[in-house]
Amino acid sequence: MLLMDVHYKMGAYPLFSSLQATFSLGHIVGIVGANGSGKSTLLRIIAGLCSIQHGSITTSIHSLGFVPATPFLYPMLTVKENLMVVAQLKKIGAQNRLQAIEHALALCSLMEYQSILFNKLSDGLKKRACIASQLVHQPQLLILDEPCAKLDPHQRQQLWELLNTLRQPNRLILFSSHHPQEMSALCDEMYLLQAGKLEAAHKENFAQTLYQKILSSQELSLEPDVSQ
Amino acid sequence: MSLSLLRIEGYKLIRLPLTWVLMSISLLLISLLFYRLCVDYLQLAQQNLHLQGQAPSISVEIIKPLCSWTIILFATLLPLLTANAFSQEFRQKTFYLLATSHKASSIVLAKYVSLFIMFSVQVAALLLIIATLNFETALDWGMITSAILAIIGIGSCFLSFGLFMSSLTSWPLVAIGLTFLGYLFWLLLEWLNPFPAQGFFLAKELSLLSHSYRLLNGMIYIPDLLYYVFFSIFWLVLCHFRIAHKLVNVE
Repeated sequence: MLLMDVHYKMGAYPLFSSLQATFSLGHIVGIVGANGSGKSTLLRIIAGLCSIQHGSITTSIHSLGFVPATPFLYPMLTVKENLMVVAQLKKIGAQNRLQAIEHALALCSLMEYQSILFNKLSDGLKKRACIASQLVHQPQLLILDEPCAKLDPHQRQQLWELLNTLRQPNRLILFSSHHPQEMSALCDEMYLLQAGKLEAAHKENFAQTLYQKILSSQELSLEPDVSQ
Repeated sequence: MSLSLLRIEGYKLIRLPLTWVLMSISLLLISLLFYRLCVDYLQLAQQNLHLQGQAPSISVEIIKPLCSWTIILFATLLPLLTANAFSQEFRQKTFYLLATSHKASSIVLAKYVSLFIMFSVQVAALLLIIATLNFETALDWGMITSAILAIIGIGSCFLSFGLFMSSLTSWPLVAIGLTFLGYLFWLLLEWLNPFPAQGFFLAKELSLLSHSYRLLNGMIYIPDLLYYVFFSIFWLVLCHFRIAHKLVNVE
């Protein structure tokens, strides 16, 4: 469970004046919004990487994984070495470390790439390696900031399938994207971040509701959805 | 400080090609300098033995200049190593990994200690080079110890100052430039004398180099060592505040 009441100013500009939301474990939650609406900032606030001026974030979640929009692993280390570093940072015991790493690599279909240097991987594999790095400690809350940025439709489809396999009753997955139609097949809840507020869309017609809101606000220019 | 974080920082340093390049260069230059000083010493010893019947002191003619030049060498090479500490992490976005798992104090200390260990390896190599003279003559180990303490003290100051500079920017080249200029300033403050005549005393007291004179001459003077300790702690504390701020404002 994650409860938020967030007030955040970027300089003098109030990005979130009173942003309130409640997310439940076991759900996959997608956040859509125009560029500059504050999606990344919101996700960073939830991850504790950005301090809020007022308000509170209440949660019973004790472990967190955060995957930023840009790759963030060490380029001179191999995929497996990077995961080893993260496992040590997350204080996973030496006896469980290797097993946890192999489980994360298998989940993300990276077993055959584990000995390759991170900077030699393609964008799609880098993204998967970053996600794998945040799965070694089995987080209850997994936050992904635009996980499908720079990915082609096929890689995006693989990513949605991967996120679907990560669904667990005691895990909340929170991510942002610019592909509401693709997200709607995966998400249990979807929100539009607009004018500093999160507006929920109904599950039955996520995409239509969001499109109507987006088009009426004329704030979001969506990329053409090639896969549809 | 977390031991696992220290192990990770050490491992990252070992896997960094730049570390090995810098260690090789410093070892090569120290060896060449040592060779040159030995050749000069032999010529001087021949002259002195002929004229005065007494050989000059190895401590004065070889060890002291070798240690003095080593300080200058480290001032040139260490910015390349310290700039990687935070600037490169910010640039590669790998700071996220640290930010989501450790406190600022742990991160700063682990980086400092890992760099210090790497630096100590180079000092140990220098000590080994000096120790080779022991095969031919009796060395003044008291003088060598105090000279090594001067190098370690100034090196520690270099590392902590370099870490702070590295935490200021995500551009490693800028960090290298700032750190190098900073080193020059702190070393040569006494010569630059930015203060008017009545403030000269302060400039001398703040200069890293002026605190090394006694140590390089074989005199262990505790206030000199304390200055190096306080200088290192001061910049580490500033670096801690900077990283603590960064942890809740990750870009």
